[in-house]
Amino acid sequence: MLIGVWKLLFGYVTMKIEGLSIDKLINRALAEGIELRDLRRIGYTRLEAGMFARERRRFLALSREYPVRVSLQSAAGLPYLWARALGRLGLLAGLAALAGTLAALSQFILVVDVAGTDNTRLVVELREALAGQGIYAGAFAAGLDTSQAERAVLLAMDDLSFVSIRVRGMRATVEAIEKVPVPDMVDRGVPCHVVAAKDAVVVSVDVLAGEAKARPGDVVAAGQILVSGQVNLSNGETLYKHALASVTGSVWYRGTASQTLLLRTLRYTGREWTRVCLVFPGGRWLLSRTGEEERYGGEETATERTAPMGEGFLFPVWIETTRVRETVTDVRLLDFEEALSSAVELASRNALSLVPGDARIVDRTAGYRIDGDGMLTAEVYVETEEEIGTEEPFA
Amino acid sequence: MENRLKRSAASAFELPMDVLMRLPLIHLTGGALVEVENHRGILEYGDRLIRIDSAAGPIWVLGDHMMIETIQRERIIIRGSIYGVRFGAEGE
Repeated sequence: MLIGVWKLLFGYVTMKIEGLSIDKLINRALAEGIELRDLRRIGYTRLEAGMFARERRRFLALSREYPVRVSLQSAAGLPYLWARALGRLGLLAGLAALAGTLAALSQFILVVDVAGTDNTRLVVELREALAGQGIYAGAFAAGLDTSQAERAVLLAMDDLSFVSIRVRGMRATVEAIEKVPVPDMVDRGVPCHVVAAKDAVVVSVDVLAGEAKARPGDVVAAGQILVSGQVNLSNGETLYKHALASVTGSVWYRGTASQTLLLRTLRYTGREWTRVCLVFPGGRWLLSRTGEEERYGGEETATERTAPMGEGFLFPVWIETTRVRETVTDVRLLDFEEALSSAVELASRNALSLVPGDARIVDRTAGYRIDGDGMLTAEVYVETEEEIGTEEPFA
Repeated sequence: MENRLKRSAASAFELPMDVLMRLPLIHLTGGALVEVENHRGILEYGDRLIRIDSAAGPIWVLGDHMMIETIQRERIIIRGSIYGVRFGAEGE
């Protein structure tokens, strides 16, 4: 394998040697340090021998000292390809024109990729803001100041906290991070209560300012005052403070999921067709196709894209393979344990999706019921401990 | 005389003979490949017989469809269906 690469890189020749002193010539070549390869006897007075292109001249010079005739059988490798190409002016001109075209095209942006946010409205606004800074499909990219464009886009869009613009070849990649809204806080000088943000059982109350109205073990409803900012003194006076406290509580999140006991699975029939296309901005070429393109009653389509020249190369091209397979649906009665396990897992996932990121999960319980129509419903309760207090100004 | 001395020295000091006397070192891989080191060139080359000169006398490599894959100053690699390697003037 490696020797094959070596031959390609440095050039490799096969010589035909004819005469009666072939063995002497070979031994002399060895003594001179010429490495011979693939020696093949093709007759009593004839032999083929391969060598790297750089050894060829020395070997020919040596061969003149012996009564042998040496001729070139074949020459392969990049040096010979290059030498052949040099003789073809049209090819060289074409290559130069191609290189020039590529160089010219690489000065333009053909693709603008936006990553980092799925917010469609934001992406549309971001593209408009980018266009205002000269970053759009078809724009001339040379001399573009991406740092200045980043600053301008950030200033223009309040919803963004970070923007990065990279232009590589014909592709501009923009990464944007959306601002996370800061929760409304009551000004420290304004009197307020700390109220329950959600229904919970109080676990702990640490008061920094104000008067505790809830104790550990109390069941509280959303909006109920946990720590009051209105403090009644023994002398009858009333103080209005900005209540400050950390109140944690147990909160339960419920997730449900239903699962039919009849399982439907897809099965491939074996009928399929495949289409391979070369995709580029603004079009596609069909490269190959197997099978006849048709619509099946039930089908599964898988599309895969690969960038043969790498993402962000001068030419943004992809090879797109579409494979469509005919499917039929098989129905079978599901094993009860399997159905229950699947429903509980889904219900658990649904419950967990409601749990805030800063909550600590302390327990998880699951139950199920089977309805009259044979539907299995699983219920999962996730118990968490989390901060439940939120500041609320006096009404 | 010199050879006898070298042989005695190699034996006494347990030195490899191929290094001290430049005796041929032959590797045989199955019946498909022979590698001969410390050779002195080829004496005869055919697709059924290849004779190689060495400090230990001629080496006869017998086989079918043989070809020399590589030949360098120190090493020869022969490929083919090899069924024998012999030493001696007549390969006996």
